[in-house]
Amino acid sequence: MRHPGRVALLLLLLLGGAAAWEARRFVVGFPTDPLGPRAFPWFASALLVLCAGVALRLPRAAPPVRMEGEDPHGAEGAVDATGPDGEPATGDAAAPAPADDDPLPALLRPVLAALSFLAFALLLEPLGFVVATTLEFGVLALLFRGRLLPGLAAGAAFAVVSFLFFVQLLGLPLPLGFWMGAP
Amino acid sequence: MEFLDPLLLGFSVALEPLNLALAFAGVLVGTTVGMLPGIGPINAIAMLLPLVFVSGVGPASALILLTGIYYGSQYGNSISTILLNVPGTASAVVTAIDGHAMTRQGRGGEALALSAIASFAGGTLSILGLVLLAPALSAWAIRFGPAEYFALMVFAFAALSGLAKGGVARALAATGLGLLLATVGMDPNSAVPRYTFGQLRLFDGVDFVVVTIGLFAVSEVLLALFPGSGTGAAPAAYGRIGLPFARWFRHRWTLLRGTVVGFFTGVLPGAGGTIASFLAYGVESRLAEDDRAFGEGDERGVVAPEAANNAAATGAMIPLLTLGIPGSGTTAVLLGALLGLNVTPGPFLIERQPEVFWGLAASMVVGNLFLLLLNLPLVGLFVRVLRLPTWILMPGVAALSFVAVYAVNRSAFDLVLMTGFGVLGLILRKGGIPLAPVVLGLVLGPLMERNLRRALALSGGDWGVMFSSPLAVGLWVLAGVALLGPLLRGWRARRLRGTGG
Repeated sequence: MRHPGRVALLLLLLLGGAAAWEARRFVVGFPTDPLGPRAFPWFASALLVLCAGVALRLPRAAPPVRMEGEDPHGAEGAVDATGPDGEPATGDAAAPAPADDDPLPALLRPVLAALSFLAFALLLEPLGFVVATTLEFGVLALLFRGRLLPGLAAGAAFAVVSFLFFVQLLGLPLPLGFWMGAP
Repeated sequence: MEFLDPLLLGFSVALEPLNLALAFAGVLVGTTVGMLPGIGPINAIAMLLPLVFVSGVGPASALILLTGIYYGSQYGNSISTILLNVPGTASAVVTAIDGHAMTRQGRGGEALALSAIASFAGGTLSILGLVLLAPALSAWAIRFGPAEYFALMVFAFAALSGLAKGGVARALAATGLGLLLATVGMDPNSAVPRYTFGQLRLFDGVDFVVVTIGLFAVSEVLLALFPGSGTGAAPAAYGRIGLPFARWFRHRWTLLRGTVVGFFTGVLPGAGGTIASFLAYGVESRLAEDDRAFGEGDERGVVAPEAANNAAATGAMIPLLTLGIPGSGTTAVLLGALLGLNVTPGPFLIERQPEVFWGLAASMVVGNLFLLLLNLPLVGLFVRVLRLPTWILMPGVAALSFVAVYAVNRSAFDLVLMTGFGVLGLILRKGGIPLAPVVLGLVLGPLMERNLRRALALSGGDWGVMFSSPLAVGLWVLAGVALLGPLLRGWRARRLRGTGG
C-alpha cells in the first residue's frame, strides 16, 4: 500500500457519507422523542466525515503518545521508542525487522488469508468443525511460510483438542459436517 | 473503617472454590495468550470473552475470570517484552528499554522476577485506593442525570482522542465510526431498523465480540502476513528466575512511587497504562541520584513502569465501576463484557450488587497473588510456547478467534462479519488510525444516544438542558480542554521550532 494513511481516511470518509445517505430513510410517522432515529447516525457520520476530511488535509504529524492497548506496529511498522525525555531510548527497544525477501507482492498473503477466512465461514457447517479447522490451519501455515503437511497436522491436533474442550467440557455444540449426518 | 465488612464479604466470594479456580484459570490462560507476540491484554480479553459468556457462570464469577485474564495477559505481555523485545502494548514499550537490556546481559530472569513483584505490589496496593475511593465516588455519582452523563461521555471521548496516536482528528474519526456502528440495529425508541439491510441477524446490532475480535485479533493475523513484521529472534537465555528479598526490598520506594503515579493516572479517562509507565519511568530517572544505568539495565527501569501500569489498570476500574464510563480501550471491552453479563456498572453497582464489586476487589488481590506465586516458576513453560514457530502460532491465534466468535451465536454469518472487521482493522492500523476509540464508541454509543434522548424528552426538546447544571457545564469545559490542549501544545511547539531555527 503506497499511502495507507490516505486509503484509510478515504475509506472512513466514504463510509461516513454512505451512512449519512442511508440514514435519510430512518423516518417514523409519529414523533417518538425530540431527537428521532436519524439524529444520532447523522451526528456520528458528520463527525466521521469531518474529522477524516480534516485529517486528510493535514500533513502527517509525528504520533504523540500511544494509547493503552494499542499495538506498537503503527503504519510505519516499527516501534516508536523514544524515552520520556524525547531522546531515542538506548537499549534498542525497537524490534529489528528482519530483512524479508518475499517474491510475492505484499498484499497477496493478507488478501488470500482473508479469502480463506470467508471460505472457512462458508464451509464450516457443511464440512464440520474438525475438517474445516484443519484445512484452514494448513492454508494459513502455508501463507506464514511453513509447510503444508506440518500445518495440517498442527491444525488437526488443534481442532481435535478444541473440539473436545468445547463440546465435552463446555457443552457447546460445534458443527459435525454432513458426513456425520448433520443437516 | 467502614470498608472492612464489605471487604470480608468480598473475600468470602473470592475464596469460593469456583471463583478461586476461575481466578487461577484466568491468570494462567491470560498469561499464555498475552505472551503471544503482538497480543496484549485487549486482544487477549477480546478473544477469551466468549469463553466467559459461554461458561454460564454468574456475573461475579465471570468478572473474576475476566480480571484474571486481564492481569495475566499484562504479565504475559511483560514476558514477551522482556525476553523477546516485542511489546504487545504501548505500555510495555517502557519496560522493554531496561528489561530487554537486562536480558541481553543475561539477567532476564531477574528482570522477570522484578516485573512480577512490581506488578504484584502495584496491583495490590492500588486496590486499597480502589476500595477507599470507589464507594465515595459512587455516592457522589448519583447526582448524574442524563444530561450530565452525556457530558461525561463526551469528556471521555475527548480525553481519549486528545491523547491518541495519530492526532485528534483521526481519533475523533475513529470515534465517529464506533458511534455509527453502535446505531446498527433496531432503534429501541421508534422500532426503525437502522443499517440492517434486511438482515434479521443485524436487528440486535453488530455483536460486540465479533467486532472486537475482528478488529484486534484477526487484523493482527493479517498484519503479521506483511513482509517485515516478523518477530525474529527466539527468546534469549534468561538465567535464574528469582531475586533475593534484599535486592528487591531496596526498590521499595520506587515501587511506591510507581504505584501512586500509576493509580492516579489510571483513574483519569483517556490516560492509562501507557502514560502511567512513561511518567513513572521519567519520575524515577529524574529522582535517581545515579541515573547512568537507566536505559542500560537499571532495575528501577523495570520496577517503576511495571508497578505503574498495574496500578493504572486498577485505577481505570474506578470510573468504569462507579460511573460506568470506561477510560480506555481495554476497560471499554470490559464494559462490553459487563453489559453482556447483565451487570450495569455505575453508581448503583456497589449498592445493588455489592458482591460483584467487593468480590471483584478481593479477587484482584487473590489474582495478583496467583500471578506472583505461579508465574515465576512457570515461566520456563511459557517460554517454551514462545519458541513455537510463527506458522503455528499465528494460525493458532486465528483458529482461536474463529472458535471464539462462533461460540457466541453459532452463526457462520458472524464469521463473515468478523473477517470484514478484520480487514477494516487492518486498513485502520496500516493507516495510523487508533482502534480504541472505535471500541469506546461502539460500547458507549447506545448509552450516549439513550441519555441524549432522555434528557431532551424530559425537557420537552429544549437543548438548554444539556448545559443547565454546573456539573454538566464543568464536564463540557473539561472536554474542550482535553481536545484543545494537545492541539494548542502542538501549535506552540511548531511556533517555537520555527523561531528557534
